[in-house]
Amino acid sequence: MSLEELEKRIRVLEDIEAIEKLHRKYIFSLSSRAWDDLLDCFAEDGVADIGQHGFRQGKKEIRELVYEDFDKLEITPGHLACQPVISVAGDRASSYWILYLFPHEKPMRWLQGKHEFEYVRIGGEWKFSKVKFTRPWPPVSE
Amino acid sequence: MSLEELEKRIGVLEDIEAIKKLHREYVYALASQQWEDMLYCFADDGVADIWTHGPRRGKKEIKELFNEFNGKILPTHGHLVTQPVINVDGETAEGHWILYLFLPGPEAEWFQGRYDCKYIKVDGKWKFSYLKYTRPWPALETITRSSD
Repeated sequence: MSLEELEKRIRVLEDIEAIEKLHRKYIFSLSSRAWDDLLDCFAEDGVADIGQHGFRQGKKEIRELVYEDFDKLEITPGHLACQPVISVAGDRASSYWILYLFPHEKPMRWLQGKHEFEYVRIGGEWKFSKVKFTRPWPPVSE
Repeated sequence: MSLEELEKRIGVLEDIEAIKKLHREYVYALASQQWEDMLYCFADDGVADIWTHGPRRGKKEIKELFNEFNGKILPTHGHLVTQPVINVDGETAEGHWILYLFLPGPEAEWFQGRYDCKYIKVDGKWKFSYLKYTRPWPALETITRSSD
């Protein structure tokens, strides 16, 4: 095992940790409606494909999605992102997670969705190149 | 890249993992009302500032605080700590987490709270130097759309 090979293996572990952190920053900013922090998670030409909100590409379109669609939501539900499965390949990575949503309703109910994300390393920092949220997941047949 | 630099980077990864473990052990102990185990997670002069109970400093005061929890935290309550964001800086670290609290029926309820913590390495072991729990998080006024 050379020093270079070891460095590569350590870098992958560091990348997984950094990607989890980025993903959690996104969820924390979603919960607290910190929209600028949320936008900061995206690469300039990133794509957002979130549930019924449709396909948006680039910061300008995603800014509209956040400030026009998300901000209209009366009350933000609880967001719980967990069970990450992350694969790193150089300066690109992909992942899937479970996202639980808890609406502020009685009786209590929960919704289960899936995140499928792609990431890119830009200037040493990981950003979202693609965000896809599908709900319900798994699909429920009629 | 020297062996020393590489060792430092591995050290940070190990520290993050150890801090996650500490925090999860604390929540396991909380869920099962193991007050002594919870106390063990704190540094001697650590501070616990939990919900509306007010800040308590040092093991003696924190032990008294846990005595107040006795009988209020029940085995039927769910505690789910998740989404850790941890930054390590040498022998100290900071982190925040979400804690979901699930209360059983007949009308099940959930509460979302947040941990903001500082950690310190004491004799090679990570401990809480500061633990703050805030609920509800986010504050309701920030998660509700303003009427204007």
